[in-house]
Amino acid sequence: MTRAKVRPPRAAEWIIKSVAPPDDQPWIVADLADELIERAASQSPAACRRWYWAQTLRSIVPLIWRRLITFTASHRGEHMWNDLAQDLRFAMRLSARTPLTTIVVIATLVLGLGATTSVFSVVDAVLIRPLPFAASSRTVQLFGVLRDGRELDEIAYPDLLDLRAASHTIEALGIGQRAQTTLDHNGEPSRIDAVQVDSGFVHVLDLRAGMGRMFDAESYAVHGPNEVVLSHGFWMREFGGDRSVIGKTITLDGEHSTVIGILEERPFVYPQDSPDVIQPLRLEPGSFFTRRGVMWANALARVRPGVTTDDVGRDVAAVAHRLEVDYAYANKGIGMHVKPLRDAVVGDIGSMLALLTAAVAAVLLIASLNVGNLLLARATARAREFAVRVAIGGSPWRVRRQVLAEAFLLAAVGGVLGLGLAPLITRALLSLYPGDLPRASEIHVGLRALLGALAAILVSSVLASLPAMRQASSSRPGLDLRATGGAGQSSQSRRFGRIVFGAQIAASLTMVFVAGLLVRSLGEMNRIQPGFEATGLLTFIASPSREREPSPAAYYQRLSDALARIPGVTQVSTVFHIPFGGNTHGDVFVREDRGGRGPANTQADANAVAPGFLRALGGRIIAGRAFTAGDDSAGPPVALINETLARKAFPGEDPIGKQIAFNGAKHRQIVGVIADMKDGSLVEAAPGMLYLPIEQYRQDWARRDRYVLIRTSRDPATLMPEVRLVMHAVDASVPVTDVRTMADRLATSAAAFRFRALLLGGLSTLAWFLAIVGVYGIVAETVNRQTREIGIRLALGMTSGEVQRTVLLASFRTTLIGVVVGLAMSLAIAPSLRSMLYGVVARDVSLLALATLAVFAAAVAATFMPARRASQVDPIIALRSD
Amino acid sequence: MGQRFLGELELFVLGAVQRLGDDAYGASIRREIAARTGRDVAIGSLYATLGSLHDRGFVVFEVSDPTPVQGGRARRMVRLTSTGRAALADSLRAIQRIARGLVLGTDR
Repeated sequence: MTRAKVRPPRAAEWIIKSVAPPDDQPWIVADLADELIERAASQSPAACRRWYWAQTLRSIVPLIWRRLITFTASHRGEHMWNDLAQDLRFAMRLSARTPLTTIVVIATLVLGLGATTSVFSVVDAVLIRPLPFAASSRTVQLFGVLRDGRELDEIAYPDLLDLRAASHTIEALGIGQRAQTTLDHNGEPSRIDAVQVDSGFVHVLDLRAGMGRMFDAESYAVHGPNEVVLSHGFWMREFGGDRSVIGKTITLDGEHSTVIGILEERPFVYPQDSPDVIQPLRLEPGSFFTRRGVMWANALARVRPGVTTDDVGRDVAAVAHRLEVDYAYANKGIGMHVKPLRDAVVGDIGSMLALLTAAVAAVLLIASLNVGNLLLARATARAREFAVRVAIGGSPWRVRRQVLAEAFLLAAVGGVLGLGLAPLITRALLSLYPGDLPRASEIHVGLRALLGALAAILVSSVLASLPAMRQASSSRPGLDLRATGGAGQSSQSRRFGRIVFGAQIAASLTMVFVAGLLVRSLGEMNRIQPGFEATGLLTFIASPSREREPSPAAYYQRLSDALARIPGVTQVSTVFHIPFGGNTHGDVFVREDRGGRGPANTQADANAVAPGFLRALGGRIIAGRAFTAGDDSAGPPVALINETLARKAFPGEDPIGKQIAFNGAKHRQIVGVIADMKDGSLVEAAPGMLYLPIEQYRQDWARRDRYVLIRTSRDPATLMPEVRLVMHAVDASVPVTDVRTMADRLATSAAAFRFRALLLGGLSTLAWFLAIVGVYGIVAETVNRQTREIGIRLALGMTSGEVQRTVLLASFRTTLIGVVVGLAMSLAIAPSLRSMLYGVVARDVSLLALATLAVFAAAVAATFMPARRASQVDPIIALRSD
Repeated sequence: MGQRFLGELELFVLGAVQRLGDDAYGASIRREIAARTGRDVAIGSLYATLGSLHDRGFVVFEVSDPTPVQGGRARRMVRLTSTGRAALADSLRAIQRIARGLVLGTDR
């Protein structure tokens, strides 16, 4: 029979023992054990264990309830509060007696709880809370999908109209787009962010005017009155919250618009998080934007109640497929799909926040364990006191409450200070993450975060005091009164100490390893060559208006000449698109030696550049020639391509001299190949890019904004005042936007990496440090308790070296177990980090070794001092000591 | 302390204790309830219920001598008091009165 082999699961038995009323406890445990043995005769050990656990878990609530009832029945009113006050006062005196440990414990809790609260605030705002508008859970965003799986935010307008008519799952469809417009206010032009919306968009997002009104049917009419709604923030900023602005006109893009309303204070607007103004979307029938295949519209839909995202996805895909067939010339290869709006807004930030939460939870766990161990040490030291109390009639429960009061006091002080710290940490978090964190405006340390922190305080203080409580109430007066303070470290407290020791080693090893991965990724990323010279380069957008500057080319020529005269400026150029500068425009070109339209033709991003752009940017020609002064509107059409495009469109051939049809011009000759430049992301490969002389670029609609590139031998950040003077002198009506140095643009693109690395680095350093403190405390405590034993051994002839070795070896075993568990955890979670890494494999062996070494060294250092002290024990004193 | 009426679980427990007579203790009560009603009472619920029945004077506990087998242990036996017996009888009568005339087992 396998009878003897089945033993009650230790953890379950422990839980039962902890929650059961003291009078019932032995009977319950014995009953369970009996039935377990009975069951073992007929069932598998696993089934028996499952049964035991089920019994345990189902028993927790009734048993705790029973204890509460008996407790309140026996401790009524005043009596109870008196006891509590007494407990607290005593706990305070006790804490004051050991100020250093008290401060360490409180500091540990402050950091742990502060970090938990602020990270929870962020996670709550970004991931948990629904988007702040009615029916937001039923709102989806529509995406275009290319054949290669690439997702496009924009969809063609007629497709959306067809979808609105044909879909049976969509209740309302909204169309909008972000735009920029020039505000002329007090004679100073400024570029402001606008979102242009149709009536469906206003309906889906439930946008409401806090003052005045929203648009009506007339507002959307093509020749209706020019009307605009201001965002609350913009209204406060630009008009100082002046209510009389409603009904007045402001000048946007040179046209007068009437302000008809102010949005509510905290609305959710898309695709731009916090636009300055909302304008009605007006489309002239037959205009460029209403054509098939012209993809520009952002679309949101509210789905019918009870319809799942999958249903909508199928419905939308079916409509898109029909459009592909009906309008093959424009829609071939373009599908559509949907995503819940919240997922679309939050994007891949989720995995990062999950990592952050795990890291903070680990820190909090280590903190609680340390506090718990400290309380346990105190309780052990007071074993005699407890024994006396029990012997003269104090109930075990009363003694336990004493310990609990101590834990609560520490946790409360730590908690209050931690909550004070939380908003500061939250602000620091947000400032470290420049602009990119979605829903950042919704983040604040609110009620839910406070409740979360309160729960954390409760849980951590109860967790921390559990072992000490058991230790305190298991006093056996006979034994403990006889024992001296020294000898009585129970096996229980020693076991808890070892578990805490090992857990800290494991958790800190894992965190150090993860932080190492992220930091090394950042290092690898900083080594990436972008393909151009990022330092010494100032960039901004100039937006000349149609009225004042009918010929943009002439304006930019004048501007470039004037800017070039600023001292320290070595090169000025203007282009449509700069690396890390936002939207590009893509199109298909035809190789004329192959001929014909069709799927074989290559898609490329196109960029139009003025003379001097390569020198300004610091790019390299690797074959053929750069553009020259002759490549103007009168010259034969030419183009440059980058390496990636050369590889993609001309594999194994020499592209120089090949002719292509592109942008309305036939026989456009490729005259050179440019070295790849990274764009948008340092991590990803450079996209294929086609360059045209800006004077040869034909546009379907007048594109007037250009990026201005200024290469300088000075610090580019200091150049702006002089640039503004020049801009004013050339044409004061032209607004300047997106002013940034190129180095800054690169840094922003790596911001997510830096944020993660910094945060995890900080948290893991904290965890590592806490672990050292914890390990030191545990070993020192153990050595203290063993002073007498060590004294005896020394008296019997053991050398001090041997004593030292014994202590070191004892903790070495625990360290080793912790390291093994830590390595296993590291290897287990590493693959889930892959998307956050660059240039380093997730299960990097050298980093694992390094992290192990760091933690091991720390553990040995923390053990060494107590071990030394142990070896210096004077046997005479030790034996006499109490 | 006097609520006279019993909850369902209390009723089951008292009933089982009466049936078991001299052999009522934690595990046997649980087994009896499971055998008669098919209900698997969690051990914690049973002890919580026994505790409250004890508070109200319906049952008393007495610790037995260890059972005369190898490794046998002492048990905390449960005995019905006269108030307990009366409370059980009252509840059962109330149930009989409300059940009289009801046709059982015709739904489904």
